[in-house]
Amino acid sequence: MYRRILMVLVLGVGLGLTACGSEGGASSRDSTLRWAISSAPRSLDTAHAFDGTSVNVINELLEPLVVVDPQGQLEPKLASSWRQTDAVTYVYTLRDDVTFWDGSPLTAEDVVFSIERHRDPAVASEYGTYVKDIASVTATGELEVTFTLKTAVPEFKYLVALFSHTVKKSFAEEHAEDLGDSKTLTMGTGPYQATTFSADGVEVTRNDEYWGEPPTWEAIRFDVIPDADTLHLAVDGGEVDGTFNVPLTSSRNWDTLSDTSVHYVDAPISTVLSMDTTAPPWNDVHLRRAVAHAIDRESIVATVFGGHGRVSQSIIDPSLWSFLGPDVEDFETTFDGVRAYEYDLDKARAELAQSAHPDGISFTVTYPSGRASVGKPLQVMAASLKEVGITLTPKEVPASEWIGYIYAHQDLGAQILAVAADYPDPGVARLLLGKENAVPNAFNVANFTSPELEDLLAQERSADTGTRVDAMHQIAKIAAEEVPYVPLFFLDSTLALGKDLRYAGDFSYWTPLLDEWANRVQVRK
Amino acid sequence: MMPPEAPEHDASAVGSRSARWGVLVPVCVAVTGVVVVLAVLGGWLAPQDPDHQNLLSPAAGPSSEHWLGTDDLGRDIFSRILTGTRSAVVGPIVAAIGVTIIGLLLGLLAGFHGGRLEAVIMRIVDLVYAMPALLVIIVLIGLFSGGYWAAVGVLVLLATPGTTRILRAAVLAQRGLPYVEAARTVGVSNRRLIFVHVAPNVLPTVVTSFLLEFVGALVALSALSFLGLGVPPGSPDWGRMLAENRGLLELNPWAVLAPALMLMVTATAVTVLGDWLYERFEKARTSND
Amino acid sequence: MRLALWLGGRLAGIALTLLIVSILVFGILYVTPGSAEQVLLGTRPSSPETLAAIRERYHLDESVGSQYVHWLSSAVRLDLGESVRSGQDISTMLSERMPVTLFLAAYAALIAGVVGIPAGLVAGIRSGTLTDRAITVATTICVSAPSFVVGFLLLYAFGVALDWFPNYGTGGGLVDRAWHLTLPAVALALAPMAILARQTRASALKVYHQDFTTFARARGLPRRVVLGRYALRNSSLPVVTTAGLVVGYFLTGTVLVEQVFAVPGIGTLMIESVSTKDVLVVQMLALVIALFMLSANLLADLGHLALDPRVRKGVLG
Repeated sequence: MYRRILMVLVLGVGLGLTACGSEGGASSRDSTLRWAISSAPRSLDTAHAFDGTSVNVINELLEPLVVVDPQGQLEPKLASSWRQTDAVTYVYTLRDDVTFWDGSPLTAEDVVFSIERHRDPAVASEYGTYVKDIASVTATGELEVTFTLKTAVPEFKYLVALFSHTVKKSFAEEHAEDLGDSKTLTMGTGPYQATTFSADGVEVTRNDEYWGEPPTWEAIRFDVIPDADTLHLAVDGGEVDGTFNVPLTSSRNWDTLSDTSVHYVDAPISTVLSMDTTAPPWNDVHLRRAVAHAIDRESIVATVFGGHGRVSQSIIDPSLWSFLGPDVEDFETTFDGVRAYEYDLDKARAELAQSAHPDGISFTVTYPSGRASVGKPLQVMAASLKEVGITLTPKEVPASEWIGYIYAHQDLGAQILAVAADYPDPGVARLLLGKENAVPNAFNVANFTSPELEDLLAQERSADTGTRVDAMHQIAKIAAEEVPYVPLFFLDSTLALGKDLRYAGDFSYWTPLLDEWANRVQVRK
Repeated sequence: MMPPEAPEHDASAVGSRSARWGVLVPVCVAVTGVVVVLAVLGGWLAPQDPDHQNLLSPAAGPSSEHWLGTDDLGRDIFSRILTGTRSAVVGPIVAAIGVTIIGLLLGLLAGFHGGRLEAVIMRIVDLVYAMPALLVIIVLIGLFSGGYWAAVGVLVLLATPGTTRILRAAVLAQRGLPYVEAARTVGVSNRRLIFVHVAPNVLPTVVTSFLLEFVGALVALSALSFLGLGVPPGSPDWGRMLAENRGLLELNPWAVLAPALMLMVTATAVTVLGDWLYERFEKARTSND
Repeated sequence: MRLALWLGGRLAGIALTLLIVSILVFGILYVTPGSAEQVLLGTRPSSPETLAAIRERYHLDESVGSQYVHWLSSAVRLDLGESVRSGQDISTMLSERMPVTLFLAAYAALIAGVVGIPAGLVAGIRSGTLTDRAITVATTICVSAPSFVVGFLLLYAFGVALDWFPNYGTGGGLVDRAWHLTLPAVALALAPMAILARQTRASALKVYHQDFTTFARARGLPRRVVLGRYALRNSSLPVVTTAGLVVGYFLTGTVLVEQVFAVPGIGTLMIESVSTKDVLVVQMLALVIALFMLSANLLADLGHLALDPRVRKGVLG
């Protein structure tokens, strides 16, 4: 099974209101892009840096075989073409004109090596679970790489865009211990080459020998600014040119900036409230339904996020259906018959009356400190739950402690978590389900399973799209009926750009995650 | 937090204390009085439920309905400021009482007994005194996710040594005075001597250090909640409001300025009172001698 | 010789204190909830093999005692280890962050001294006048106002509303850096400035009314010379002795002020590391801070020794 959830919540979380030391305030507008990131990449080695911010930076340095375009479609990168020869075999043909920063040509050996690293337990790669269904990856020619899988994996073609970032084999072998750290940096084929890397940020310079379109910028400086208010000040003062980290909870404040434009686009970042279905008090479906009815999602999206999000009705993101193929029906039809929980306190009281706790309960939900995107919604939820006699106490804990709770998978109670799709496929929701994920270090924090559900989860793995859609439809129905998770909202992706800059093409959730993006940021003529 | 220091006023050299302080003292008495009243009655005086969310008018500026506007969840800032007085003030009062009582007992013990006991107490006191209190609290409360009262507890532990030192010095000064010798010779018991004779004479120092401790604790606890530690998110606490409403500055500045000003004004008023009282006591004492 | 002995004793004491602090901090961090390997693993689910590899690499499987010994033996060789959070060398992190904090503290000390001492002198000499009262009121406000609140107000008044100062970044070069750090330095300087002013005022008051100053004035020496040569020098003692406390204040103060102004110094590093349970970094910061305070106290005592013959006699016999 593939585990492909990106836990946005935990990335670069901290109390810190720190910023980076910018070298010289003077702007060199035409040649250097100054970009704010929320935390420094944890490494420039993909194996130890699988989180949103690190990936944004690494995408400028290292290149995968294929990338995903703004519309979610695969595009060639290091591979000029690819084909699936049977259910478990994928063949990629490499371009013949690609060179590393040191001038040496890219070979199939480098690609195979880079992927094998993720499969090596000694490397302890964070992509480990993404590559575990690969039976073998081999160089079947000077410029040809062939994957053989242990079993059919419907979304494998997208996974390749995630884990095939290629580093030069001889360089990586020479620096087996310290690849990607601040002294060693890395050796890739991308349009920009890393020059400095510290806890305060990363600087990259143009690769003049780049095989593709000439890079837009002479250099890019990534400044670490974890705190939202500081980021606002830095953008307001023109100290940085742009960021992907506009906090939706203060979007109104950002919209008042005069020299910056903020773009919001739909994104498959889903926030859910989980309730442990195997332990009291949450093993009572009526209690769970009461909670679902007593949450005013419309107001949360409108007030807390300034409307920059979507109310969600299911753990499966409707916007992801279309990626299954042109023949998949529209989401509206596909989700027919799925139980919906509108905000209705009377219905909530009725459900509560039927439960084992007619007088209500008190419970605590912990979340990583400083995360307003869950803290504020929890406060709104607490207010409406109080109306029906349920007391919710939000509690902040240090981020590491919070992850510890989730991963330890004990005394789960109710949790709030945000999960974001790593690639375009509605199947990502399976990560929250089934006994395979109801274990430590996995995300079925509602411990939700049943024989019927397990069958459906198996069918969802089918190579046949029709079977998958049917299975997911059934899964959505069961999940809505039993409400192990109250789906809350999907948050938008953001892009803030100085008014003198523009973004070429459509800005999309997928680009900074699954493709090079900085060259799309251009000076407005 | 600045370590509490004994005010360095030199009563002898000041011509007239009323000239030196002017109208400041009555103003500060009034402010302190208002704060105390709010701490007791704030919840009742608040025109609206401080936790009531009006999701239709978030981050609104002042209006006749909301005198200081609303925060990002549409809660009434004015009511939250009033209600928040209690959590802003109660913890520091408890901390200051705790510190003063423990400090007084230790100070009396050390100052009066002398010898081994004094050496041990002062050794420990010096050790703890050298620790940067707020840093230690941040680390402890941060790492253990301790709550408000845990923070108050740690604060008492770390602030006591400063007070102990000051009070011991005051006790030592008393010990050498003739009346203590006299009492000793007529066979007054040590306990009686301490509590009936010496304790009242160090009262001025006790009161002053209580007020200074209060200010120290007020600043420390609000700093903690400013950092997101101690009080739970969304509570109407001044430090919390300051941190959580920073993003609203352009939409409703009062959401941020009101708690900032309350903190400044309260801390300043109580400090002035402490200084002024100390001077009065000193003056009374020196003129008695 | 006696001085060497005295100094040796003090240095040994400092080393012992540091050892005790390191053991305490190690113990505290060990028992706090949240586990370091979760930080190392990142945000993706992981396999048992990955977990095992990471635990071994960072010695997480061993007992507290042997983990501590591991750390200590590397630390004495000045190998401070790596941050669990960022994978960066801790000595590199410290050397990146420390200059900013030191600059900020020195700048604040400068402001405190340059404003606080003259203000105190003036208030002391003109005691009872309107000037004295104004200075007294000002110092009272400065000493009691929380630095983070003042910092916040300064930031929004002078950084955002008036736009006189940059509100982000630390600048390059001395002048640019000073310009960037002026607001945080002022916020940090207020309380020590007020205390300096009060102490100077009190000492000046005493000294100014003493015989030798009166004599100097009678000799017709200009007020400036009397002030500088006699009053200031003789009121410097208590000022020097509080140096240790003032360093403690700066270390605490920078945490809050750096947070408010987002200055990338050791204060913000401390908060970040505490919140991510970055054990080794927190430990190293605790030691560095303890070292600073102990050294400041030692220097204060040395200063005391140099300035006051009575103390000199007490220590050196």
